[in-house]
Amino acid sequence: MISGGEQTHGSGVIDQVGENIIHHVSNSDIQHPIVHFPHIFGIDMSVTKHVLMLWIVAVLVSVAVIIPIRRFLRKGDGIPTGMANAIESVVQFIRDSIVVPNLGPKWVNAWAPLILTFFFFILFANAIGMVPIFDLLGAFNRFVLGIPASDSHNFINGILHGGVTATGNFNVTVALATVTFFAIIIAGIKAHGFIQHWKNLVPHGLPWPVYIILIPIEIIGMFVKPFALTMRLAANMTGGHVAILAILSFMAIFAEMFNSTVTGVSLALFSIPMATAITGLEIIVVLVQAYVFTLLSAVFIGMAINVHH
Amino acid sequence: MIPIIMGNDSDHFFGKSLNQFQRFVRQSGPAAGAAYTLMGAILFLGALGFFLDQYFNTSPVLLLLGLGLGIVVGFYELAKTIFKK
Repeated sequence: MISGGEQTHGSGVIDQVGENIIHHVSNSDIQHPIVHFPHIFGIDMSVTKHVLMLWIVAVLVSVAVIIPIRRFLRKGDGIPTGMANAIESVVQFIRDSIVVPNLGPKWVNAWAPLILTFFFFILFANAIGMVPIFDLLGAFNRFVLGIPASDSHNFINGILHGGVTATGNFNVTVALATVTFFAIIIAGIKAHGFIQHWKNLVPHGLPWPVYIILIPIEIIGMFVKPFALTMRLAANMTGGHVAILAILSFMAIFAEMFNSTVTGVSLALFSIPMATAITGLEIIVVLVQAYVFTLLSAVFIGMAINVHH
Repeated sequence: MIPIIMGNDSDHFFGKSLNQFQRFVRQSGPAAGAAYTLMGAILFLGALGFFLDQYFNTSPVLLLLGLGLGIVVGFYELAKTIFKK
């Protein structure tokens, strides 16, 4: 594992493994940001690794989705080609399999753009976490340019701190789930009106003492749904990376335990194929997690629109 | 549904598989929502109880209350999905 992090001298490999794994999946330290920005209203606006990744994802989504679609619309013949063709099949799948069944045909055009934005953004953010671009930059820096990891003034060493999967950061998933939270409320209000939406939270025609129990449960349920979205996405994206790093760490751990380099190297016969297999699984997870977040957002928005008690 | 031109048997098989997959996806949505809400409710209220316990120094009363309430809320949401008309 190529790391720009400081090595803890005087402690064993086992003591360092946990710290190293956390270093590789968590955000970079706000005390050592990639780009310094001043405090605004007491909040440090400096750019950390995950913020940088969010910017990269925003640019990638724009280039890969918005540009081909604008070009397709400008062409005006209604026949998508190349990238626009690929995007159309994804859009059609999300619309027909997720948006229409959960929200109903009347609300497709209102909510499909939000659901699709979630899908593409999360998909790109998850996928970029699988690309070892910073590790390669680190290797280039270390072995080609000969700059040591301890050189904290070097820019490439600076961007090596922290993980690359922005969707593995709870702050990012909280922000995405907050959008869903407000989308649920807005969808309900648009479909039924302000007063009726809040009335729809609980079933009608029950004895009043039941409402004393049901209203707090429904209000808690309102917050629980975005929380489930938040935890699920961040935990799944972090979990896979932790598993890969833990399996790769076996080589160093066993080499130290048995005080034998041969043991460490032989364990590579297990660790590397296993890590490769989990990486393959992670590629599926990247797709599935973007899909599940999209599906659940559509289900929750649909529950506010199509109220059945 | 994704339109598939049924030229030969393999196209037919692919089209049928895709339509079946879309059908499963449609049916799995509410079930996935209920399952994740059940898990989320227990975790959310359990964690809330845990942190409130630490703040008020009442361990483990609020944690247990949070977990209990989480189970109630989670199963209520699950029941809503199951008994939906």
